[in-house]
Amino acid sequence: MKIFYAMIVCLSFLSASFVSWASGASQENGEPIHTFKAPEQEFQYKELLEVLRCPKCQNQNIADSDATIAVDIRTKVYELTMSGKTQAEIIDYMVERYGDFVSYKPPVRSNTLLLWLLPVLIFIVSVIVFSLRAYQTKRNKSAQVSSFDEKAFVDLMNKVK
Amino acid sequence: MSSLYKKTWVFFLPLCGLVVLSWFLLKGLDHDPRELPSVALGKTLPAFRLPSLLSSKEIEQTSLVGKPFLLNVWATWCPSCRVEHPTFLKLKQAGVRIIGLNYKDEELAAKKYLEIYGNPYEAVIVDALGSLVLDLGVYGAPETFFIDAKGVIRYRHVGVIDDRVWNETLKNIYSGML
Repeated sequence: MKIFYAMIVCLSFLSASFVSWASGASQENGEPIHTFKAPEQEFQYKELLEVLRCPKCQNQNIADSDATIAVDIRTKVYELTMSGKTQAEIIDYMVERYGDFVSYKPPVRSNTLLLWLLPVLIFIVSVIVFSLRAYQTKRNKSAQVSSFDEKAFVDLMNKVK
Repeated sequence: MSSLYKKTWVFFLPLCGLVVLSWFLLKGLDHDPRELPSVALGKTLPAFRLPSLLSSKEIEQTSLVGKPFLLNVWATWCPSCRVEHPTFLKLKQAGVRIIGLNYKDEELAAKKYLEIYGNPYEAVIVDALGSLVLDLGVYGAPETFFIDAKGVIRYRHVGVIDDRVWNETLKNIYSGML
């Protein structure tokens, strides 16, 4: 009997989750579900939501964030997309108001050069350091082999026998 | 290069790396990552025309510019705004010009709030859709912009303004605008 009740609970939970998943767009904060005139617009909108950072919750993009400002930015991105603006234009619009940090793809400029080059530089330096050490170890090993005294070894083996 | 010289030189590399890294980290200790440089600094207050909370006449940026003021982004749903409210009342008493920017709030609730807790604002702009807030590059409430007589944004303070922050930092910025 208990198992029966447990199954009913699980089933209702699963169906509730399925319904909320299937209904797609969330309606939190009274945010309307956005409709699009063309699939490219919807694609651009969704891409922009993932490429723009939430200014308040800075480890989230505006697709995920529930912050009030994220809701506003989503609405603005929708309006701009519907009015025919390109992805680049919309990113510029946001960068104009929030700075480079709002885009997950920072531009390559003089002040972001270090940001872009540092991983490459670190990689190159590590490769150099590792190959130097490998070369050194190899040299040490070969030095050991060349200083190996064959006659002394044979004498020792004969003694042991 | 003899191998002994090379060995000593290589040992210093990690130490140099550590010193450089420590310098960056120490510098970062004073730097609040949430306080991003405001792109708005140095720009003029964006053009807008929005309703007023306490009057039937609309508010435009041209009608505000002329005398320096604080533009305070607030809302009744923002608990930190309630915390800084008494400071603003004190500032108003001291003659500081403060304009309120009511962000995505309910007009009735906002009016009630000012009736109950006091009104430090010369005027309150109603930004129901957050359009002016977005143009200013606001992250959330509370935020306060320092705007000079020409309408140029001189400073942006993120978070609560209490007596200490005013006396230590903001007072000088405000008097610098006068």
